[in-house]
Amino acid sequence: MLNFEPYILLATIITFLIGMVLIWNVFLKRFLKVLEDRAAGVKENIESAEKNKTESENLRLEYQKHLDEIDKKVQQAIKDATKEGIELKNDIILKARQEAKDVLDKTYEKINLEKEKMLKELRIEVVNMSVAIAEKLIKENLSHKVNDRIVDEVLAEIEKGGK
Amino acid sequence: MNEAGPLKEFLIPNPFHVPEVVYMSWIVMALIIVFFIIVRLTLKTLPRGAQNVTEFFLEWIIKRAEEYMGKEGPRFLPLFALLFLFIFISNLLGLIPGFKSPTSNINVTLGLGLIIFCATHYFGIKAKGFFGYFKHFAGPPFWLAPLLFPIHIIGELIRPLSLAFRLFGNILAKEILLGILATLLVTFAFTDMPWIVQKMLETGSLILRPLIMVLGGLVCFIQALVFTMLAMVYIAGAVSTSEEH
Repeated sequence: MLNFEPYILLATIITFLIGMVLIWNVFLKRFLKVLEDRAAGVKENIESAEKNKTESENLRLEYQKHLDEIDKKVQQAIKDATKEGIELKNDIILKARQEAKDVLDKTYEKINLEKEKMLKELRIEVVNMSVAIAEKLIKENLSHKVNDRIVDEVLAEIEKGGK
Repeated sequence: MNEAGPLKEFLIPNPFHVPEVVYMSWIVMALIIVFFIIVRLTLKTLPRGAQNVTEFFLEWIIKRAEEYMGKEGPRFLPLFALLFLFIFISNLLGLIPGFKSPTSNINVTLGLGLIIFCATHYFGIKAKGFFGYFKHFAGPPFWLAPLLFPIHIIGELIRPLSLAFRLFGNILAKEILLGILATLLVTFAFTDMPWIVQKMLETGSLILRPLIMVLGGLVCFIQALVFTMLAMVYIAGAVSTSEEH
């Protein structure tokens, strides 16, 4: 059980050393290369992902900036349009008021003219009537001379009353 | 030299009548190499199956080696990986009927111990120089060198022996225990004793044997681990600078 057998010891050492050399050359070299390649690939992927992340972050910031600018422009455009709209509204109201005033003035003017025309016609009618009355009266009572004086006096009084 | 019977000779042919233990260690080495060749042929960047297991194992060895030796650790991967696998598979081989653990022979474990012994001092001298390395055994304090140097040298010489005997003892014990249980089973079956006692003894042996086999599997792993870890510690101690040491 505890026999010392140097050839077994030597055979073990040789077997182990040959096995170690074989495993190193057949497998481990290539295996370590694969591990290194993978580690490099993973590192590269991580770096690439980091780069992409930074780029997308920059792009996002840029878009955000653009969006902010667009928002500002939209706000400004709305403000301008509102202001313009209010101005336009005020102009239209002013114009409408002016037009209404003009129409009103013209109407008043027409009314006055009509009124004056009617008054003149009325005056003439009154005169005619008065003349007709007077003529009737005079025909009955007075001479021509007295009649004319009375007519003038009546006319003067009518004119005074019309004013 | 060859203890094989005719059935065993038929199942495990040994035409050149190589000593059984050497033959078994060749089988172990062949298994390891074939496994690595298969993994090598199917090596992919994205690991699967056997490659996954191999990567896990080798990365574990690299991590442990780095833990003990720092950056220098991965350089010793072939030595430690093969050492662990060789011992573990050798230990397990004894659990298969008809096979024998090469590590249950003191000459094999001593051979492995000597490899570690030589590697320790070779890498130590390579790292620190001949005098630098042996100066390490002399102190400090240097005035105690006449006492410490022989103690350290004896300690160094004892290391391969302690490695060899620990592994040999554990594996031999496991094999003897399994052998005794198998023998007892057969003995109880053919011994003239009361039926109930016979059945109880047979059942006991039947239950115990698989349990001992499970325990044996655990011992196989632990012993391979202990041998490899101690080898790492010895080599780390030899190659590390005094501050690290």
